Amino acid sequence: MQVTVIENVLKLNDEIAAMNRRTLRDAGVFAIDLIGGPGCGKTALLEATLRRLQGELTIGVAVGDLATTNDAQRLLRHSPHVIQINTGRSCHLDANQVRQAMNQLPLHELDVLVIENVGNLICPVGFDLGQDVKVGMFSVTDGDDKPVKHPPLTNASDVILLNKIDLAPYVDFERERFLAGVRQLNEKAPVLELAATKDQIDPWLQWVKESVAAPAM
Amino acid sequence: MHELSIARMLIRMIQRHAPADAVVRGVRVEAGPMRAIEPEAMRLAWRAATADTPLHGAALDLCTLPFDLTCPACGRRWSADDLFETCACGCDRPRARGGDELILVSIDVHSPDSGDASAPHSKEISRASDRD
Repeated sequence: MQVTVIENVLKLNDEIAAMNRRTLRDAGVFAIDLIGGPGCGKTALLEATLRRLQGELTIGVAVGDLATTNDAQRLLRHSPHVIQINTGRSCHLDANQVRQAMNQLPLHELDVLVIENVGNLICPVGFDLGQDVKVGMFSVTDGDDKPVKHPPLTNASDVILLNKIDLAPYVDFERERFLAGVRQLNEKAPVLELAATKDQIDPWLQWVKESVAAPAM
Repeated sequence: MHELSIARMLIRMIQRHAPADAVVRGVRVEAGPMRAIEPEAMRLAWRAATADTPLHGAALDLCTLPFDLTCPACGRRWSADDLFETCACGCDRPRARGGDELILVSIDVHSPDSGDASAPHSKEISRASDRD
């Protein structure tokens, strides 16, 4: 006997994500899901962001890794509002893990919550966490064809970050090829070029500040 | 391996929909191409995730949907497995729309009252709680 269902497999996750979104909006928190491959500079970007926006915006971070609290320890030097989520064997965060992290943060004191997803360009993309925006992060050392190699992330991102531009002269990276790849899959997302460890992150800081001021994306 | 998370979510959903005393023989799922589900990885994940559950032995029928492409030059709309397929007009920049569907379409169940007893690998399914 065939039982027809026709239901979204991720319904349970999406219901919790919707709850997260309501909680964050009610608390006036702008939420960012930061997705990028291992080593592309996500934590370095957040370190620089927390340092530069100190006194201007109160930023909380929920950082996902399979194991260790290394990233949280790095970020705790710059903000007291950091929660490490260890996912064990899972290669991405889900809405329930983020909910638990949110419960440990003083949401009403925050302007921004950055959810640093597990370093992975594929698995995190399809899981709604309750964020306002998805930020897809690449770096020049990953290669200029990464956006077309990972269509779901490029397609789903509201903003694309290209990090480590200071290393472009030393690796085989064609900027135009990278940008064309992004545009093929995503006509709208701004592409921000950064060098997080050199503190060259002004376009990103500008974008964060503007988004917090008018978060209707 | 997001396939493993998806398999676990599928199991929960099936346990909600299958009649309490039914044996589940098969499950049909449709996945949009933007889900980036690798069929072989999905089959392996399904086998692993169902191994110690009442769904052990239930067949997973995964249908991966094609990309829905539109040509920005001539307006043609067509389906293709290749996201970067060139349009008949020569334009090599087709745009994809949607593609992130992930749907549990149907469950094939056997109820003990129906008299059909051929479900060699399956066990009785019981309604599990919503959370692991």
